[in-house]
Amino acid sequence: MILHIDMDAFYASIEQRDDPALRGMPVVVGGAGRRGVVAAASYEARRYGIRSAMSGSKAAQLCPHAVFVSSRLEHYAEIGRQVREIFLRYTPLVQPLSLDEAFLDVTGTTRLFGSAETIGVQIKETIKQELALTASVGIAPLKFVAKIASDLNKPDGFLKVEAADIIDFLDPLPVSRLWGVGPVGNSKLSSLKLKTIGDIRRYDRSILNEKFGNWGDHLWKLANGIDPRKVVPDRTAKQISHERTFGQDITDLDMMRAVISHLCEQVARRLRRNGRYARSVALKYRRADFRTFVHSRSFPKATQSTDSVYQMAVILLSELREQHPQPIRLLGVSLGNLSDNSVHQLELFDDQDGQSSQQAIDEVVDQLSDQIGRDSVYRATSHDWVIRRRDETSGS
Amino acid sequence: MKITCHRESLTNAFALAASIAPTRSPKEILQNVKVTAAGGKITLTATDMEVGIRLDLEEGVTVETEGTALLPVQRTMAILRENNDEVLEFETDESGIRVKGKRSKFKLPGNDPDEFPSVAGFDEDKYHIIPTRLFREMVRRTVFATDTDSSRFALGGVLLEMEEARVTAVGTDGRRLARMEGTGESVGGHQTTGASTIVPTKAIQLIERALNDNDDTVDVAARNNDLIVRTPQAVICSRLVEGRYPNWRQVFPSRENAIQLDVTVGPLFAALRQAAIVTDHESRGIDFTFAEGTLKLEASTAEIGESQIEFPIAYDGEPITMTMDHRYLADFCKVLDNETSFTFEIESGAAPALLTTDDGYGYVIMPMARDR
Repeated sequence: MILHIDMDAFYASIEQRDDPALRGMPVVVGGAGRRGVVAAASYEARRYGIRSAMSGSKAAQLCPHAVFVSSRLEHYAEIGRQVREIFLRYTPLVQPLSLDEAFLDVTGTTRLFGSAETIGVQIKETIKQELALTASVGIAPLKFVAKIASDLNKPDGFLKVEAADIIDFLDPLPVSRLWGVGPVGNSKLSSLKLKTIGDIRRYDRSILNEKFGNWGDHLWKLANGIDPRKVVPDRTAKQISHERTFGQDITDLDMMRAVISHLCEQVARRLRRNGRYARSVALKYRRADFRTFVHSRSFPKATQSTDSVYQMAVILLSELREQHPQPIRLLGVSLGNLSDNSVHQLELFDDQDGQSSQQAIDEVVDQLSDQIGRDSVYRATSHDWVIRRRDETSGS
Repeated sequence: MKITCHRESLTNAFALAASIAPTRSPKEILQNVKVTAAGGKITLTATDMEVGIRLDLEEGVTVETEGTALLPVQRTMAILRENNDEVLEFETDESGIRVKGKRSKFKLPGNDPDEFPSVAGFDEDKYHIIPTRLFREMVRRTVFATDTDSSRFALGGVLLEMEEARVTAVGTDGRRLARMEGTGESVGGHQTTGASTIVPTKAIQLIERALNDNDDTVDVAARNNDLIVRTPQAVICSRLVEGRYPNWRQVFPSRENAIQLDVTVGPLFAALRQAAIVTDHESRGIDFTFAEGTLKLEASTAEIGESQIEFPIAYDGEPITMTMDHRYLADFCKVLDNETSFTFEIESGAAPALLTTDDGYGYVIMPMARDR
């Protein structure tokens, strides 16, 4: 069985926990100042329609008496680690999705700790007692079903879906509940009059495949309760990947490079954090018509360097761009052929290809990101995208 | 042009020229060998624009009418190989080239010989005279260590240094380095300047193949942008790699207190090949532990297995372990005969190993290190 555990309004709840004056108040984390973006909102604030990634000024309009507090990423990260530590008491198979969200595979540990339900309840209780925070738990045999389940009864939710009930559970849900269906995907599906997951399940698989390629096939499988993805802790992951769907399709190659740069920073950092080395990089490229292409290439030797990953990913991007000059809606970078081979070849000549300076840069950036938050320091090559993403999210 | 040639001697010369001509090229004219018949001999030229060759053939050749022709490499080579006649006749007319044997006739299309790029001759008065065998060894023992994939283009060739009586060749990929030196003779004060005579890997391999051990010496001249080599039969020139070679002398170990051991190639290579059975492209490192009386080679790869091979050695100091990429040592063993003995010099697990023979060959291997 798989548990999906999602902390409820994580940042805002931490602020309310730490400052009793904020309890019961509409609290907005971040979003102060004209260009600020809401990082999180308490449930009280959400009642006014305030959502994360909204501009601060819009939030203030919706709820004039909202309390704005500035975000303390380092603090949240620390508490995120404490949460993860609680997860790890019950199973080594923890796959974090972000600071406040993770999948746990408890199949192998039910003899030790009782049923998946018991473990779910215990984790909720432990988080409440030790950290004074609430979490929502979804339990299901499939990852994506567990994720939907944890989301349905938020906050402080708890929902278990048995294998036999998966279809009944999914059928009435709107398609937007499926992983990978955003607003654009939603409108694509509604053009085929597909409104609920059940509609997709009953639809002709070959037509979905023909219309939307892999994405369509993937949705059909999910709707039919097929999801072979396992819970993979980073440490033993076969690949480490990040991807990004754009609010608006991108046509500008420079902007794509900036996205790639930013994605490379994130995957390479996770790679280093887990003490692993990658021998290949793959670029995922989804056109506006949902056709998806993946190109990959190997490094001459296993690497941990953001720069090496980026250089290779940019080559792959140019190739894909040449073949498919259409607007694109998603880019992803994934590192593969991972090893923890810590033996590396020494060089005869100092600083070949600037390797040691790149290593020093990576170390400093990793340290800074751990201390002051992931987006506080990034490569200049990522800048255009980081700015655009900010604008994109604050404008919506 | 009309010539008759002794088939076998033409075949040998033509094959050599053909080895330079590219098999595929956007410039189709390069897939020809140019024949120039004049003054009682013929000259064959071929080039891929990087390397050019010029061969004179007089023996067994009769020039009836002087002139030039382009012979397409593949078809001409096939005719020369399949035909049994002692003598073949080549004649050009407006429609192309006619090749005639005793009972066979061929007609090949003729391209315009004037469009064929010219190939330099050897007009140098400053050059080095180098024993052919030495020059071939210099190339063979260094060229494998070059790195044609490197972003440092200079590493994609063999560095030649020629000063007075000393000639040196160096090849490196930045992780191991091969150096072969010997004695030559400078004519007209010829010498190379700086570390800029870098001959592209492919070109120097072609040159090496074109040399004949029956010739005692070759003449080698380094110019600003190219290298020209002259043998009694041929002149070969190659463009040089642009770029500066790294300061290889600086990284070539010269140590006083390092440990030196005498080793024979064959047995070490055999032990190495065994140890390497359980390596793969992910983990190429083999641990070499030098301990009293024994050199132990160990490899271990997850999901593949482990190996441990022992090898007697005249060593009695503190144990030293160094990890090396097995391919680097294998490359060294491959260019030497099994009976050759060499000096294996080590200092510590973190310092380079130096392998030297008494005929001027030195090979440096940087070890592998464990992280953190």
